[in-house]
Amino acid sequence: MDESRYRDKSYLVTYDLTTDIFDGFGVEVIDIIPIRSVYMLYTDKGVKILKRINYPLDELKFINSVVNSIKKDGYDFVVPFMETPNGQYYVKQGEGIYVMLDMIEGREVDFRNVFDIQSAAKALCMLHKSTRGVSDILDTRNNLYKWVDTFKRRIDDLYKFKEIAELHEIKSSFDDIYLSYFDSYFDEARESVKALEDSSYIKLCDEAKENTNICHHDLAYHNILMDSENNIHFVDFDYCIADIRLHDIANLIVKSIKHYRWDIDKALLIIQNYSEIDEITKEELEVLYGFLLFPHDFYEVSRQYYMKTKKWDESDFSSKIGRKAGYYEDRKEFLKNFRLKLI
Amino acid sequence: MDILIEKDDLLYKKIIEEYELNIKYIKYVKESSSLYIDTGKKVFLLENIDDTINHVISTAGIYEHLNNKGFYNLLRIYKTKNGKYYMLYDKKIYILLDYEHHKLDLSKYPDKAIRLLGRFHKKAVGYLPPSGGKCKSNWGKWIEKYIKESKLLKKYMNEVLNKEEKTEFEDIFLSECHMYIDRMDKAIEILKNNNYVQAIEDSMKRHQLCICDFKQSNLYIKDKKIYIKSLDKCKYDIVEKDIADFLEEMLKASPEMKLEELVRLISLYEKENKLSKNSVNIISAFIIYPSSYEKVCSRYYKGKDKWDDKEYISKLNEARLFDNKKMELFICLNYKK
Repeated sequence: MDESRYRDKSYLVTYDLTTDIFDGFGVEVIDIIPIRSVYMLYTDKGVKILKRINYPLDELKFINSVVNSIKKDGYDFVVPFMETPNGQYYVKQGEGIYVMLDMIEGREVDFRNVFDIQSAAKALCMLHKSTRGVSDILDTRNNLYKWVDTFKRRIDDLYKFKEIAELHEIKSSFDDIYLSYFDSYFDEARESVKALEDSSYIKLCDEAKENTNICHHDLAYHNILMDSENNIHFVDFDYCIADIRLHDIANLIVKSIKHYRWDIDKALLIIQNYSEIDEITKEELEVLYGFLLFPHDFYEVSRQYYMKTKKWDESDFSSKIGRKAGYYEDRKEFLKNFRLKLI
Repeated sequence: MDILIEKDDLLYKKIIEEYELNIKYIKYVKESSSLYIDTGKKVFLLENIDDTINHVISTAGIYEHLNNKGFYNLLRIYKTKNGKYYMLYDKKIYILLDYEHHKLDLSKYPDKAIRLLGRFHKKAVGYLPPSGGKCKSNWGKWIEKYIKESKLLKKYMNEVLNKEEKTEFEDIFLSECHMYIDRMDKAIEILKNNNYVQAIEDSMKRHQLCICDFKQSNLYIKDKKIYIKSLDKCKYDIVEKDIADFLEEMLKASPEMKLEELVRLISLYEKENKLSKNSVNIISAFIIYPSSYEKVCSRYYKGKDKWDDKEYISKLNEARLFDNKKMELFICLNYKK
């Protein structure tokens, strides 16, 4: 087996795996298998996932209340943390806090499959509707009203990265690609802020503050599972935040199309199917456009490179930014069509 | 020289513990991490699987599903003493199989093979992975892949057109690329017009599994029966893709076979598993798509291999010949209708 299968092994070694943890959850473990950054456990109570959380306890409490509230309010296809025999939902062991979840039997959705996309979009809408009852939003998990400031800060970062790249006497291939695309992406980032400032963004935040909306905030294909009866399960709420629903919708759109030539039809399909449950309004579409306009991917890989937040090789970085720069034209065409068709 | 394993090796002990084998002779299979095991009574292969555990659990689930449905033309996978189909050791996954050295000359058994494929599809309906298993899918993949590749090849064509100095490969590419791009677009059009999406929906409802590797190298014959060696590449998909891939495999394995004979194999398939009214059109879309040509061209413009221009040209010529043969088969499929 190649090492990439264990690419999160550095995180796995932080697990303090003792039978105390299993006792704490009241399960008898028959077999343990490491998968990515978690363990899959075969237990006397079925197949479980054991996860060591890497955020503070108050955030875990928030996530727990979000998931339980969603389930209570009618969206059944989320996985609550398993209760321990003494009524808790986590076990402390050494320095770590551990949670256990049921393993969902289903397949990961495939963004090439229109049926999967349709189902995921409808389910996302139902999920959002079920988050209305969440109360006590944690400050650190509240992203309402923050988009414009965040984007402005990131625009400053993009400029700083440009200065760093220019300072390099011998430029890396990452620097070269970054500098050659800087002007175009920088303009898009500024346009994005302007589009948001001219939109109903604040009004939508006011409404979301009133009614509460929680975004899953990590809608990768492996966090959206379809079971044998075609129900969509959302898993891993580790990154969930209070925000307007467009944050998730935008993420679902981008994740569904960025590797598949930025196909506008797929974006329309997502909007249409989501709207079948609860309509995305015209003013929401303008805000969505503003969000999509910001070059999130380009910013993220540049931040990881210039702020050294990831320990990848130079060649990994180059190929990453190369890929993102490679779809520049497709993305531009997509944004043009989005504006023409929806705004 | 064979690399043998000593009795005090931890892997050796683990094998004994998990499978309770009385090992007489054990060695690594050349250039792999898999092991050849002889017990004196039987010969096994302990295969090192380079994949995720979820995938291995699913593959074992497929094996069991097929067995339960009465499909036994499979290489046997042995369970450990604890009833598992795999063994973990030193971050590696192993499965124990019969050591199989028989080969199959597909050109001699096209009828048997296509009927086996039909039976496989019929029995592979309704597969759901067991707990902890994950089964991948190709539903929706092909049209998406074709549109993307066609777009990229057109982009490359325009880049070459604008180049002042062209390589020999690029000159050859330009002289014929329009024809192949037309075929790519034709395949996309056929899929769009023939309810490819409907075929996916039907396949999803049935949980239809495909073998995705029904090739000579993954089959063997023993006592006049054809068997499948590995279920490792199985994915959810539409059966038409497996059939089209098989026809292509036959073109390679039996180049002298008449195209009409190949087309006839589809009706033989239907003796085992019924197709829909759009199936032949969907198969023909997969057949007309010049995948070999596209592969060589994209490897060239992505600079994937360290081949020189001469090697690339030779690969391109091979690809053109094969894809042209597929074009003839496409015409034959349409004539048949």
